[in-house]
Amino acid sequence: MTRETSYDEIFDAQAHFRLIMDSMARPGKLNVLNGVSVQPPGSLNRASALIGLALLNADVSFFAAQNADAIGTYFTANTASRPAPAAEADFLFLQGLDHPQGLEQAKSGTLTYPDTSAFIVIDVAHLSLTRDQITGPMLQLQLSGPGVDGQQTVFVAGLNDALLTTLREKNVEYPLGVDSILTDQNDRILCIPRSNRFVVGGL
Amino acid sequence: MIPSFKKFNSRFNFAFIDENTKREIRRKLLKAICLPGYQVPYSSPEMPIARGWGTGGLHVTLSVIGKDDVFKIIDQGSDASVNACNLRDFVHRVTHCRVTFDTHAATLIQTRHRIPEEQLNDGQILVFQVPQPEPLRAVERYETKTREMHGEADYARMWVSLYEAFVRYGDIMQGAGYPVMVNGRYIMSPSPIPRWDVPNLHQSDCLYLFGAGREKRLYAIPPHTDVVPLEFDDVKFRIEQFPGIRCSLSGTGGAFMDELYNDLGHFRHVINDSDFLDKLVEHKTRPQQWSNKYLQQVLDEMNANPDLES
Repeated sequence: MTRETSYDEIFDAQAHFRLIMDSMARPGKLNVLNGVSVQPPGSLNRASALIGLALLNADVSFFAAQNADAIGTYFTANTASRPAPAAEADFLFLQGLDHPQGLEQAKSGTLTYPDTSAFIVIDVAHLSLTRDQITGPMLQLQLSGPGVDGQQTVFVAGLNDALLTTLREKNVEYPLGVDSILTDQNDRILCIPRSNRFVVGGL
Repeated sequence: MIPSFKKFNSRFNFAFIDENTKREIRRKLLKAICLPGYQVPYSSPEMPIARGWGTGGLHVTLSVIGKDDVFKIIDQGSDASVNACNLRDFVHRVTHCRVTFDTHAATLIQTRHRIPEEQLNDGQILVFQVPQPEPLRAVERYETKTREMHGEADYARMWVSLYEAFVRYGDIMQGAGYPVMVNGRYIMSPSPIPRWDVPNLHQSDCLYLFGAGREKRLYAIPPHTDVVPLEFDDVKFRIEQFPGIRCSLSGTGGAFMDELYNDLGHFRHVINDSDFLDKLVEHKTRPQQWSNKYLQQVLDEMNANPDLES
């Protein structure tokens, strides 16, 4: 169990929330969550841990697809949030190369209260706005919708195509759906709110 | 000189609200951004001012504000009215943030019933204080029903009420708080801003956040989102017209005007946005205004008749 001591729950949380909000309001804009050397358990990107530390508290629950015990202990110790099954959790921490089973079960809200849906935090290897910064297999995402001026292209490495297909199926009945945040190993984040549509091309 | 805000040198938390409640409001704000125009219920905690006096805007401001923000607050376009001054003092006291009157220099602007005349950019956030977030309340009394209507996008009664206004009075009578359709899905109340400001919500660069403290609702319009005022094919949305009217202090037009009355009952017009007016009068420059077709029409009309006296 790690109790984070270098994390400032007032000012770090505020700064990171502003970056998450900026990315959420402008899908396709990559922001970097840095400045804090937290030590999350293995198989959790540092940016994903910082998202959890910024937004979780005792009012909400989370689900971790991999390494659930270590991540569960970590978030419980640092945020007083509690683990829950995927179908009930408010935050789902998934791996980009996972089977999309957790995502399939995630809460998508109701027509009268679509805000009672889950946030999905997905760890990927690399996020970039330009193609040449990534080597190896990658996906090309073209985002459009509220927050995007026209279209925005983002390149993602370490993300399973099946996960994106499931995400699109979850969000097909707008306003029902889930809101996702992708994080990479360089602390960058990319948000895909359910209001956005995306087209995937493999490269 | 006020020392910078440190964690333990104060008897209250940074930005007054406790961290647990801030996290709750922040999560709700994110959901609001993901669902443009949808009203998210939230806790609306107690503040040192009464609900209905700007607590919703204050909750949003205090949940998003950081040490580096430059804060501006206006009330009906003015930096100097009582509500704006007191809330500015309060926010300054609990955060020690820099405050400004300059619309362009501000990163976070709280407003009551106006959008600044000067165009906002992508680094800025505008927070509205909202008295009544539910645009359907005039046609449906019960919250459970209006929620269902929003859920099913069943807006027939809203359209009928606009139509009936036209039949009775020859025009859609809604002045402040003209209902808008956001992202083609939710009808939203833009808070009681004049019609003049409504087109500026459409495809803007900045982020709009709305807080209704008494009604316990948050909502948002992200940048580059379609916001369309409700109108019919043959009865169109119009903004306020000030034909031939010039500001008595700056001598110019093309901005939203106040009528100022003197003791004899005579009135003169003055530009409503105090910072815009200051820049016109003191710096002799006209700040970059919003660009929308309604305003363009007004400016064209003004430029075609440059000799009119105020």
